Amino acid sequence: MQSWLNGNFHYLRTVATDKEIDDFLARVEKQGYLMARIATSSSEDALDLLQDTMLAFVQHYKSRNQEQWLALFFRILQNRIRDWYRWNKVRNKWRAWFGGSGNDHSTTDNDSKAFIENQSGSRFNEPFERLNGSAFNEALLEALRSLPLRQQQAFMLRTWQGLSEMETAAIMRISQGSVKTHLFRATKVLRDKLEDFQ
Amino acid sequence: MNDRKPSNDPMSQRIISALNHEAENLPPGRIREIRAIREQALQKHKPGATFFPHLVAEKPNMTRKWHTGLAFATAVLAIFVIFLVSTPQQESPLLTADNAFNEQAMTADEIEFYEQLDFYLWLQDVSENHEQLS
Repeated sequence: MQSWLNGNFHYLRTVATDKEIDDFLARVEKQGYLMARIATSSSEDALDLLQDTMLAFVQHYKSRNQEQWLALFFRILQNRIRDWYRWNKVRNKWRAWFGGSGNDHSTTDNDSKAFIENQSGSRFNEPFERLNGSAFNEALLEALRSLPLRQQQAFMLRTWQGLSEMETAAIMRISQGSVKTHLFRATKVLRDKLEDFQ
Repeated sequence: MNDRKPSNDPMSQRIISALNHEAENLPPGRIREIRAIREQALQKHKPGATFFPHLVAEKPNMTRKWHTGLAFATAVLAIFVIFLVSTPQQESPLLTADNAFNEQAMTADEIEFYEQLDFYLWLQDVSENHEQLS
């Protein structure tokens, strides 16, 4: 009866308790931070993105079905990361116009989609803060950081978070075929870069 | 949603465990910041909290708060410029097309009058003489 009610009247579900939300966020917050940290190469920006994500999640999506929470959380986070890339592109253009040294590697490329496709997050190159870790981990983080954002997102969501192709495609707002392509390329690059550790 | 499955590839497994290790072994200071962010997000959403938590959130790092201000200032400036450009200006009556045409017509008549001035003077003389004789 309960499952039937949940299935047919899911919109009447009671709002999740703070404890449930807290548990969920506690489970994904470090992964979310690491994802943003790799994408932006800046711990400050990663914290900002994580906070925006959590605020948006708690404010707008906590009433959704808990099975969707993981995909929703990472969808918000990836949107924030994309916005961050776009914002940095604009900022770098302004800097270039006013005589500064824009660190944008693709200032001649006006298409933001292409910018996101090609841009890796390696412009700040802030070293990872790490307690300990093997050389493999260090090489892995650097290899992930060198990936274009789309490939990075596809790999992180699909391989690390174990999201389905459909969910990953919805989060990245691309087709499932594109997810496969990005994932294939990312895996190939990572294999090449981590070849010595195999 | 139904094809969620962990990769069985040994390399992928190694990468997954390495990423999990990195996520779980962040420095204590960073973990405290992340926890503070979570608690703040939950706190802001409690009844009585603001409708705009993004604007009032007190972050451990406030480096990007000025983005909101900059976006607002840009929007206000853009609206002001659009208002200035779109407001119709008061036009001088002398500068309208019709008036300009009339001005040109009057000038053409005057030119013609002055060109035929000798003829009009002669005509006037002839008319006066004719009146005197009659």
